[in-house]
Amino acid sequence: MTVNDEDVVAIENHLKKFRPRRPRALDLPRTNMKLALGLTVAITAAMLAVGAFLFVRPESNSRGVATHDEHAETKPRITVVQLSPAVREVQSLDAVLSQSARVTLPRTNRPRTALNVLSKE
Amino acid sequence: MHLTLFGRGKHEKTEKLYSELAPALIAYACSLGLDHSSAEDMLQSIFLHLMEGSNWPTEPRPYLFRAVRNACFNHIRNRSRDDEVADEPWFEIELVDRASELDLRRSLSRLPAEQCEVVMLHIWGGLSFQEAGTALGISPNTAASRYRYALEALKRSLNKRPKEEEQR
Repeated sequence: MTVNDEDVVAIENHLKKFRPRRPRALDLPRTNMKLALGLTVAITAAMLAVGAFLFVRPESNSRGVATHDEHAETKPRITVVQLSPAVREVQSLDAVLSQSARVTLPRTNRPRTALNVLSKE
Repeated sequence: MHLTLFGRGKHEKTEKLYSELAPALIAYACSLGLDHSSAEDMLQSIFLHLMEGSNWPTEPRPYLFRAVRNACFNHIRNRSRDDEVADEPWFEIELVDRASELDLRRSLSRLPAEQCEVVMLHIWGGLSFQEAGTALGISPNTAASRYRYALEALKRSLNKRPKEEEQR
């Protein structure tokens, strides 16, 4: 038995009525992609944070040094040379001590500070 | 990691191929001797391998049928003799009656294996004879000729059934 073209078409049409069963959905590792994206975001955030820290730090350092130096300059030094003659005269000793107390002791007159509030109480 | 990050297109291509070809690939695996659930497991691993591989095949459709063929032969070779193959339908039985489905399966199983393969690839896989030849490692002309012989045999087999029913 041979098949002609008409037979071929008829058999093909008959066979195509049957459809193979669909399998379950493809289970590809999507979680890996989420994990990778999460890691990328975390790494980028960490790099930005480090960059920002490095950018800001030198400025704050220089500010800190300047403040320190400024403070050092304004801070009066009570030396033995100053105190020696003052010890001999009580009036001059009071003057030296009161002058130094202005900067060496905590100031209570600076507004909105804890000491200011406590001094009022 | 590299592939999962930058292979989004690959992921989509793999899913598209799966939705197009999976039913035909499963039916093909069943025609080679696997039960439906084993064929599904095998296909999942083939597609996972395809997605994770470094090279995307130049002709993915023949490649997949060839991969299924090789995996089936390996599976059958390693299968214990005591393992029973479940007699499950290969085709949707909602569209046709169960008897017709069984009849077709029997007719296909009676074909010489090399002819059955070409029918599975050409009819349900939608492969050209060129692609079927690539998948099976034969020339397109050989694939076409096997197909013709297979249809002759199927015509005889499928015509026999109504006569048998008439005799009953």
